[in-house]
Amino acid sequence: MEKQKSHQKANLLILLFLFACCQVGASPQLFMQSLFLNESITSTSEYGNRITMGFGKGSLHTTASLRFQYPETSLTFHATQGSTSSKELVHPLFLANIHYFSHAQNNGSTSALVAFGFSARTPFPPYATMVTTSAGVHMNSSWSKSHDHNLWSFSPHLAISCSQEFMDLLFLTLFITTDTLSLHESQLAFFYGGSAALALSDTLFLVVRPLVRFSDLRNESQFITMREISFAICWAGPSERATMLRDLGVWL
Amino acid sequence: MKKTLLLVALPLLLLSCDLSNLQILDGEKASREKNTFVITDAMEEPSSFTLLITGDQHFGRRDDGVYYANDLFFSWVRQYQSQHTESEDHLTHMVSLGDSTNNSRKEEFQAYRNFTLTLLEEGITTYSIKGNHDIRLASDGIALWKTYVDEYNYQGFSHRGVSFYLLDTANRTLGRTQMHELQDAVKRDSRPKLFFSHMPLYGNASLIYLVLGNTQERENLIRLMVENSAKLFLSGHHHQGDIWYSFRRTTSEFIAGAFHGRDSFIETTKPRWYLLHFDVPSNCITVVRYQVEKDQTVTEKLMETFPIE
Repeated sequence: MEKQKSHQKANLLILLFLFACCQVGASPQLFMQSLFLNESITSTSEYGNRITMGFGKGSLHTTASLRFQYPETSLTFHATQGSTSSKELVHPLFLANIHYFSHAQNNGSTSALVAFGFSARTPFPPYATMVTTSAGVHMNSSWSKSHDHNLWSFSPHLAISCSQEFMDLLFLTLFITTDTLSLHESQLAFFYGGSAALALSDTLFLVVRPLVRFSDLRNESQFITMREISFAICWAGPSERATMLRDLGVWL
Repeated sequence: MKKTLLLVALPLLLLSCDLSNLQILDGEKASREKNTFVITDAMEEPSSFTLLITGDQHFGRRDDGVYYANDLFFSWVRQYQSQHTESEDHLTHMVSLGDSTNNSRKEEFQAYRNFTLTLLEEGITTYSIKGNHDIRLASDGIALWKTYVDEYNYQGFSHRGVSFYLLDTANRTLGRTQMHELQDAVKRDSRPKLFFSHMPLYGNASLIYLVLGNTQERENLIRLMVENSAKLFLSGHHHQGDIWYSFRRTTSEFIAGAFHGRDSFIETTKPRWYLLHFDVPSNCITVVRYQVEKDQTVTEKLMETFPIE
């Protein structure tokens, strides 16, 4: 009971922190509320939700994302430095990501990811195609009251996604990545999936994202899959619309 | 109209995805009738013993540079048994840490069976755990395991007042069913405990691709050990082995090296086996390595000693 209380307290603090971020920073340009159904070995609940807020200033775009799936909570700050202007065909990206994961039984992990990448967009509206790639390093440190020292790990980050726009109405994305915001059990795992964003208005989108984690658990190319499907409502202001479409799937 | 159609079709299409692909992640019960981790033996005070440990035999492996030193091993066992007749030193049990076979083939399981029968002639009963090479899909490894090795995929037993928990981590995960049964059994057991697994828990930061794949599952195991007097987690899989990591002063992990040797560009290991001394008077556990050198001599090396509390 005491642990549950401290867990609730931590969640409340995280929410307040997000709220404070909102107040001191620029007004959010993106808001996304997702509900997901997830296969997990360690979560007691199959369902969870994720709230994401995004901010944009010039070529810097940041998101703060809070994810609940009892008994697990995670908070992710993601930043992308890179233009989304449709005037440029190819532009470089710099990604940074800090992820904090906590479990109700007093353990968790903090991880950081830095990556460089490119994004390219074909100049054929309303059927434009966007390809985004990134490669970098992912560091993870697991802490717990059960062990005296943090358990560290380092792994490569690789991601590629391709988005196709249809008449400013439907946006389809396919991606493969080593890291996502959703599943924390990511050792030797790749995630592939897609997302479909349907524009309900100029700023409002309905997003469906099926995600499959496939991992070579036995180290012998016999892949085991674990799946997640999420449904989201996303509001993206005019300045963040292109960012949202670029990051859907892998980071949103 | 288009928008309405898409709105209806998309969720229907995606909701039809089957989200029940959890056979391996859930795992199977080792026995329909009982929790095979639950130890029903009468409680007794812990007393000293010595345990023989081998792992990664890979019988049937024909890769470049692979070699075996089985004759040297058996002559060492015979000599050891004749020189150590006291009950705390004499070997009565061996735990094999998985990958008994290379490709889960019938003839490989038969070779492993002969290996354990030869040990039985020396008065040593073998307890085996599964490795990833013992459940290859191309062969019927799971059925052959039951025929030639053991009825159960995972189990617990006690010896001299100490509990032994043999985990099935061949899939690089315990899965939910096995974890629940393990938690249930361990929490009801007040004996000091030793855990045995093919896949290591952690080892060090460089072993990320050779350890249990789910970091939260790893955490749940460490927590279970720390809170329930589990002293040591012994594992294999990493053929170089000889890696020691202490999560707490009282809870550690040891990764044993392979029983077979290999001398190739990819991997260089010498045949190894280990003795674990559970010493009650001095209140400590000691692991000693025995290694076959190139000149066919068997060298002895103390790997680690840590306290039992």
